[in-house]
Amino acid sequence: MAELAIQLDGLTKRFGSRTAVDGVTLNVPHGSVYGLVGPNGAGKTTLMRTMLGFTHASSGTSTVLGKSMPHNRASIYPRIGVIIEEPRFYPFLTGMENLQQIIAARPESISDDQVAKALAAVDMTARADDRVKTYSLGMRQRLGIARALLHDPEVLILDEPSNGLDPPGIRDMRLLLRSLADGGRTVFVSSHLLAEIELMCDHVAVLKDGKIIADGAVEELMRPSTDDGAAPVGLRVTVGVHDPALAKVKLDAIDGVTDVAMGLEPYTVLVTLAPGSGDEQIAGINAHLVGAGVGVHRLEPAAASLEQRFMEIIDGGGVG
Amino acid sequence: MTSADMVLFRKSRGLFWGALVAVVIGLPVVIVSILVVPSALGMYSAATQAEVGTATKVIVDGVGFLTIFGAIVAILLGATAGSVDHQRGVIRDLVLAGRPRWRIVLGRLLAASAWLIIAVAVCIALLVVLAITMAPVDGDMDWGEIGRTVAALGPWLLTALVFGSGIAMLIGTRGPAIGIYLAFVFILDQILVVIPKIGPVWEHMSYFLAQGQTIEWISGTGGTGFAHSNTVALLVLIAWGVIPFTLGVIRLSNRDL
Repeated sequence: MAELAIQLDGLTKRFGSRTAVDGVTLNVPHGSVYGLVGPNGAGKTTLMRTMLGFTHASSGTSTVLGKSMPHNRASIYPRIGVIIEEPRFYPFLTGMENLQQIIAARPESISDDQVAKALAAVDMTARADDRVKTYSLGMRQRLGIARALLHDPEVLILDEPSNGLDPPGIRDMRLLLRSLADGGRTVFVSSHLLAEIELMCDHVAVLKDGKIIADGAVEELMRPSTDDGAAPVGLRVTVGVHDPALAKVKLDAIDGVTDVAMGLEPYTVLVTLAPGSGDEQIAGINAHLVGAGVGVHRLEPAAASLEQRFMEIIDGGGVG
Repeated sequence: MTSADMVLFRKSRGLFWGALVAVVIGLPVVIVSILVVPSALGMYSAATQAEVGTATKVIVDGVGFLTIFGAIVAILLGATAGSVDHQRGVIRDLVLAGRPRWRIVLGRLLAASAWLIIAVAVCIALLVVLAITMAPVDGDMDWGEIGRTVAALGPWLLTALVFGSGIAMLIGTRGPAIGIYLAFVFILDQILVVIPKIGPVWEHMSYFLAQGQTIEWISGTGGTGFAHSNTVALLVLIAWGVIPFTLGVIRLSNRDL
């Protein structure tokens, strides 16, 4: 078995003078959940399509399960499960009949048990005999996942799989993909739901303007970086106060405080300190606010979320 | 061809089934009415009545109508076979399942052929029953003539089917393919034949002339002015199916998924 499930080396896709995917190099280990994030138009879908040989690469190479694409797509496609963009179906057929169209096209036979298992995994068993034109977007998405899972693929490549799903559906999707990876499958997933990526993925890559501007293990990426080229990020502190507006005014005047924002919780402000700050500066915040007559009832470090890091990376131009 | 291919057509709705039902049920009723009612109302002279009023003649003339209406259904079926997966966006998933694109279309085309044969067979059976029941003039049935007339439909309808799928694959959608076929066969092809300088060349490859010659060869009637032998006429007709189909498959195979 190849060590890497997916390996991209300088993959580039140009449409005329526009470069949609620009020299992307990625290594996706076997058995991992690898997230691809990026703003709209970053090139995530084009990267996936080029990687799979759905469209020819302008330059660079793509290797899936140890075989170069698109030359080996005939042997690789039956081993992977894919959803790119919104899954499409024959609307006049039922969900089950749509799956049977795919089963008829597959080289190997798919048992009824496998079909039932795939439908159950996405909670679509009860609606499988209804016509697809009666399905909601979320149900079509679930059926698309079932279609991708039918043959128990070695690698799943999913473009925004949570599109249209309700919160329980999003959670179920996350648990499903995580369990597939825990069972040795590889999942390569793009999503706008950064909290889901944070919870689900082992590795993540950030794509902007067709280029990978940060990638690595999720914990590494969420750690503030001081490398050259990174957006320098200091400690964040959530401060619970009785008068947030006054606290903001007082904190804005302190040297070493780079940003003060209203906190997500009521009666809190989120203070960002200059890089290199530590406990001493945090104690200074407390003393300054109390001295200015602002009651402080809470003071704790705020964990950076992937969403925060994503915004910093996107705004700052990347992590080396 | 798999049962899945047949199901895909059987579960289709709208234009597809409308056209099929019109041919299977509507056409025989309309044809027999057109051929029988004037006789019943005494609108024909005795000589004309004797010529057009036998059951054999009603059936043969009825089958003649199928060269137009059957061809439209064949085009519709062929164009559906060539475009349904692409138009619905499912072709990517079928390719991912491991089936080459040319095999996907071939499976759909075989299913479309099966539906066409069923539709034409039912239409002709209904036509025969109605003609025998309602023909105003008694006469022996000439099953040989009827058989030859029906057989002549085969290459014509199958070429239309394959031609339609090729055009649909080339342009990626069904509707315009039907219009292109009708405009080509009934207008452009016939104009090209009569244009000075182009006509003498075009008549060697004219779809309409080749199909006319083939029909009349198989049905045992006279020639049509096609410049070559019956065999060449048949080959030209086959080429008009095979060439668009091949170009369509090449186009489909090179199209981004």
